[in-house]
Amino acid sequence: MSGAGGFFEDLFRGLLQGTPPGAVYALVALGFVLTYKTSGVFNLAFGAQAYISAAMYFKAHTLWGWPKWAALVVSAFVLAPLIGLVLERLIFRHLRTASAVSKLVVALGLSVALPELFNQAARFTAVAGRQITGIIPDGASVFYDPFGVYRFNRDELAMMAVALAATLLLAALFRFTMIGLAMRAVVESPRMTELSGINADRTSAFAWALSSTFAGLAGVLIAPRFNSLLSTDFFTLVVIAVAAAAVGKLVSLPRALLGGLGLGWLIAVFNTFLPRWSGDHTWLRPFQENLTPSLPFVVLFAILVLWRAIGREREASDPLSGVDPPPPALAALARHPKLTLFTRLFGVGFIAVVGSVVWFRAGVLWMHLVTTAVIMAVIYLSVTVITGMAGQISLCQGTFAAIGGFTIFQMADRFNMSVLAAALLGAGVAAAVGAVLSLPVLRLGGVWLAIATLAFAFFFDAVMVKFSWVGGGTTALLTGTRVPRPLVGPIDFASDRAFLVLAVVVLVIVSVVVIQLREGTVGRTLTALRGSEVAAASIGISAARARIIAFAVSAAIAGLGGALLSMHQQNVNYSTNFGPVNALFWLVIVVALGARTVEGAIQAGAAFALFEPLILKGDLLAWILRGEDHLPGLLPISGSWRLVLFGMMAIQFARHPEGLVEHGKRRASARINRWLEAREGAAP
Amino acid sequence: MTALLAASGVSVAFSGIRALNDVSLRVEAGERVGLIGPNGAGKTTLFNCLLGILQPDSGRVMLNGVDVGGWPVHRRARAGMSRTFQRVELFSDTTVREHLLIAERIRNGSGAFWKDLIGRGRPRPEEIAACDEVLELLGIVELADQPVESLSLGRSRLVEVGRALMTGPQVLLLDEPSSGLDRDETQALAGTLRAVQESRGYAVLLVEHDVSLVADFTERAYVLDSGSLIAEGSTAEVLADPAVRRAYLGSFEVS
Amino acid sequence: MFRVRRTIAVLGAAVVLAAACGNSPSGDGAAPTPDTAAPTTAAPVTTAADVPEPDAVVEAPEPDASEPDEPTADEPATTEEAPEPAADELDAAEAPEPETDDPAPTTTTEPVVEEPVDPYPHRHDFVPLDGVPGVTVDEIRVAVIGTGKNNILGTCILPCFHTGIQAYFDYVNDAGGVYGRRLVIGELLDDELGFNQQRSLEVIDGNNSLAAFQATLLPSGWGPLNDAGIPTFTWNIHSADSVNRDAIFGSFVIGCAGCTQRGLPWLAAHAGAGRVALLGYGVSETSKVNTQASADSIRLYGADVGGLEVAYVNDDLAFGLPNGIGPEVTQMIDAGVDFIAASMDLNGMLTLAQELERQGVRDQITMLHPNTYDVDFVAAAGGLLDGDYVLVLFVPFEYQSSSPLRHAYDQWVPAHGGPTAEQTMAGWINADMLVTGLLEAGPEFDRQAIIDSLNRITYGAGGLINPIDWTRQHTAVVPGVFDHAYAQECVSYVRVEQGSFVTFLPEPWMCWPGDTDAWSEPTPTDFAG
Repeated sequence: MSGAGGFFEDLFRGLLQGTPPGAVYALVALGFVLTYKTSGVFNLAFGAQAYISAAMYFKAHTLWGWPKWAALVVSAFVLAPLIGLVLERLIFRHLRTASAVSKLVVALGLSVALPELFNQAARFTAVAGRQITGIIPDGASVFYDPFGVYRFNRDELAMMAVALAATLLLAALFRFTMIGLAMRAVVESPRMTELSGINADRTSAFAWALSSTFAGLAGVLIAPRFNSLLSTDFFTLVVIAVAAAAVGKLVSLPRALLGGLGLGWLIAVFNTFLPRWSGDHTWLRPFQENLTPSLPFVVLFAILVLWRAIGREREASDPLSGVDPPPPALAALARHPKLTLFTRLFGVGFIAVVGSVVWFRAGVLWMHLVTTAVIMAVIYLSVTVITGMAGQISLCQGTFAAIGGFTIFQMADRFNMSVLAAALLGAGVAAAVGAVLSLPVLRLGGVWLAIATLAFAFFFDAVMVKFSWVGGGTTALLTGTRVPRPLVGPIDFASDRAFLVLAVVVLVIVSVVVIQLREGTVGRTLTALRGSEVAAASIGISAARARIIAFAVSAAIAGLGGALLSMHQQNVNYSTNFGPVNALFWLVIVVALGARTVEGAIQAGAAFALFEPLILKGDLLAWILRGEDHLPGLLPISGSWRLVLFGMMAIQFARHPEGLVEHGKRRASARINRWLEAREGAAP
Repeated sequence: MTALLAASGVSVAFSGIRALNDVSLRVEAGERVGLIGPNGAGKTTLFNCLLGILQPDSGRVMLNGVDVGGWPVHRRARAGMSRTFQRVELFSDTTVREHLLIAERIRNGSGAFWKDLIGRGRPRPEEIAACDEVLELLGIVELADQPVESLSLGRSRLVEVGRALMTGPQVLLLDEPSSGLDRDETQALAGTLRAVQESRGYAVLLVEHDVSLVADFTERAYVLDSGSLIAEGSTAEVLADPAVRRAYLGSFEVS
Repeated sequence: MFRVRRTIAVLGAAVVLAAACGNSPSGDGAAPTPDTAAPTTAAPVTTAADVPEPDAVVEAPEPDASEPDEPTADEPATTEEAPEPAADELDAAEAPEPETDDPAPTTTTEPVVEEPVDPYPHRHDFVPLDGVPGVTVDEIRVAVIGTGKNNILGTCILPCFHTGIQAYFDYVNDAGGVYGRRLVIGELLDDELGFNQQRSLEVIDGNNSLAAFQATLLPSGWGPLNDAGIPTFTWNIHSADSVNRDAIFGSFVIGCAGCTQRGLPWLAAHAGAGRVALLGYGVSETSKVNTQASADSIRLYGADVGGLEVAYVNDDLAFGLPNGIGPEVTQMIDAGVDFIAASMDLNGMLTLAQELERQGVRDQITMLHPNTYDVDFVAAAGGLLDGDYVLVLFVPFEYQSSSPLRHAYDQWVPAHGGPTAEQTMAGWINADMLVTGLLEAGPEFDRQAIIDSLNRITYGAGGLINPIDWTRQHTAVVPGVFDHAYAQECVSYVRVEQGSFVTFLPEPWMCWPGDTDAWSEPTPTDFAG
């Protein structure tokens, strides 16, 4: 086309080139804002909803050969709102007054479970290496060149038009229509709305149908931008689009549109000029190398951290939220001493039995799985500290664990340091990173903190890992990130049994640390902060200090666990173990099972490593039935249902925010308490 | 001589609108002072300036003669300013005694993380005894093991007072303690407050809407209206002041 | 659990490396290499005989080097003749047959004399084996592990790999199997991206598979399989996880980071290019190192091939090109680029092609695809990729190869409904490598014997791949040192025309001496003879 033009011509072309990706971000950001405005949900499952419609459209049009309009109607205007209605009815209706954080966890679970459920139900498999056909005839092949500088195809023009039209129409809807006002009112205060005669259930059903339809439409429109159809791409897109939505503080549609376009423009302009300038000025080179793959995450992080308007908002914004019944007390608060004794004895007995079965009977695989469970429990205790005790959602625990893993790899590789010493060092490094990270994000609370940490995790993934002093180096290029097992005097932990003992010892130590903190002043401080930040400050508690400690301790535990996991696998295996999405799984699994207690973390570790082989594959049942031949036909259950079950777990969490384990314990202990008391009452 | 707590020339504007205009106030050690005024008079703004929640545009806040202007809330709390809340702020998922224990541990400066690790973070018997003593004083010792969620509003207020007392305050700032309580409850609360204050000897700054409580409880009072002090002096004098009566538009009677 | 960007980038980069690292043979391997293609003599003899005395073989590299294709080239031929006797053998095997205790010595001497004789005359000898995992009286069971679900590339990995292995097994079983036993895939395990180590441990723990096959995106189980002494045959895109592991074999070897290569400049010159652009994802150091190595290659050999220049390098691209690649293409146009070599997955390559089309330069810029050897993919691109070149790691399907292994592939794979995809061929070759190892190990084989015997030979898949000398090539290659490199640096390319692949080279491979990185004109080579 044109040669190197002047600065302004290049700038203009850069802006035009940034417009199509900007329109993609804008569409997702608009959907995000729409859902947040109408339901109060920080809907990370938006990408999953968009994916389902895009996949449905592909299936109907490309695979089944339906006409485009029919495929569009089914995917975006029937399936999408249907999903929205079902989600509303089954899940979000019960969550209207829940905290933003519990809604976030549920959305995270859905973002994993929904695509899986669709893929299972529709027998859909990933598509790659082919242009996805959009709804516009010849959408990808007919170009228009409005300014004689850069050409847009029809698909892109349609996307831009829809983004613009949606902004205007939705803004008008909120401003001028009864239903628009009602939707906003329901989010602000469902109870108040009920009192003023609006049917909150019907309004929120409409809101979900609306936002889900938009998600579906966005999915169908966006899909042609990619040459693959993978749910993970849509998730990443949502994370990026959060930056755009944040520009509108999650509530302004026009600003979300501008935010999305702005992000596209920024990246394109950046990619236009920086390579050129960094050729002339070598000091710019590191910026280009590191920012090019990570710019959206850096922008997101910067917006959250630097923009003062975003931040801690009081969670229970509903003035009538005090009307809700108070949450039930922790089971341990009201527990019969005999019951406590009994459960302790039972716990010790159970561990002894399981321990000896594993010790004497387990082969390589089960040794590996049990060790994994123990180590994951260590890592999950980091979630217990940051989320259970401090009440903060951190989505970068995987990154802290990776820091631990990479530290032992680097130390062993470069300095031949003992891996155990390196593991402690790794915990220290992770703690330092955690403390430093906590400084800028401290101000943020709730979902914002969660998003900031997610941005950090993606940044680490895109930029840090490739540095030779983190995950790279000549060694990694040649032989990967292999890690030796520790050797302490005569004990060689290369033996799986010895290593399991080591892992258990670490788990016990970390558990004791967590319990000591929880029972000690730090734990009490964090409890106070979680309960009421202003009240905590009024008795002399420094929120910043307490949170830095919580972050650092949590990061240290994650780092230690990550180091241990790397030793266990004798390789850091960053992508398998510690990628940004992994930490999302961890969080959901821990909070769903119980983030407040050490048992919750241990059970989560066991669930992570053992649920699939033990339950889904039917090994436990086979063992009980003495032989695989007796297994009922439905076992083994396909591993893919694991993800669906995982989603269900997240949904359960919404109903029992104290965690499933705790919930079960409370019910059981209440029953036994009553029984014990009745007996004692009868005795004298 | 320096006052225990002194604000001088405090002014605050919110986007151009004057919320406080050159307000000065003193609380001497052991004294009970009231701060009254109609809604929107700037009571809460002044209160927040004293506590450090809000930074005044000009003016100074002194505690024991030290300018605490730049100090954050928790540092002022440690220096002896404690408070209660109009809308009760308790720590969910904890018991009544736990509330006091948290404050006690913080006052003892036991927040160090390594102390927890070596098991020194758990409350000592004498600390528990100190908490129970305060609960006794407040007459709610039988509630010690109750989760705070189960308490009535009046009792929740007492827990807040107890928590505040555990920080060993030199001055206790009470933010509309009667709000949400009926007359009997308010009187009971006033009785308890006075008894406790007499036994512990700290100063009190009471921000209150309910003039009868102020009349009952305080020795001196300040009256704010539209961001300016319109009266100060002994409570009885102040309440008799016609300007004050006008500000309240006769919405109260002094018996 | 899912999502791994790093791997993919490596994948794109890896394949470029594969071409890059054909650097060289060690001192002793150098001499015999040119002969490798000639189907000759003594080699099989040694190997058949050498089971008890491995040391001798290690000392005698010459016979090793001469044998690479030989056994495999001959072997399918023999098996083709063999179906009927095979059945007999099988029956015989089931009957309690006298153990052939020492067949080796006898055969050692005999086949030396007559050339066309089966190098593995014992292939149907049945010896009862106790305690060899996965081996029963009538079956040899293996495990296949790969990425099926959660495959972030969306390409056909596990199913295609599985098809290739199953087709090869059927082909061998149809000819009577090996040592009186049928080859059976006993376990087919999907690692769902994140569970490779766990699945591998299931195989180790189950102890019911003689060998393992792996085509995965995250190879976290290769270490444990290697340590457990299980011969493991892989789609070897993960050089870092196979290097220094004697039990891990692959149908190609990428052991070098940062080596220059002669294939890329040669091809660019062949395509009539003058100004070359190199692109890579910025997610991993590997992909950056590879992109830089490619740039170095153009700089190093550019003058030799008639004046190539590096016009543009960008190794910082965001994975998957979520923001498109508009500004970069504009810069390439401004820089006068006429040839692009990119280390990207095929989705990214397509995005790049679309952007070139949009900016109106698609027909002026030729691309080299590292990872796009997929018939359906280029067909679906509808001519958008016409004129481009695609790197292939084995003899491309478009060549009429005389390799009997290829002949059998053409017969057996379509019968399995299998596509002619890269991973299918990888499975097929890997299965042949296992059988070669079995035959080399002799009828009293076990896991270690298979590993040891493969590590004594050069394996060439009947001429379908650039022969791999397993005595040397388990070790990583570093630039400038040729001890562990391929005997010859060879590349194979096809061109895209009208949405399908066509050949353009006189022989499937263009090769350079592997013991030097000095420029020379390439030798067209067909390892199948």
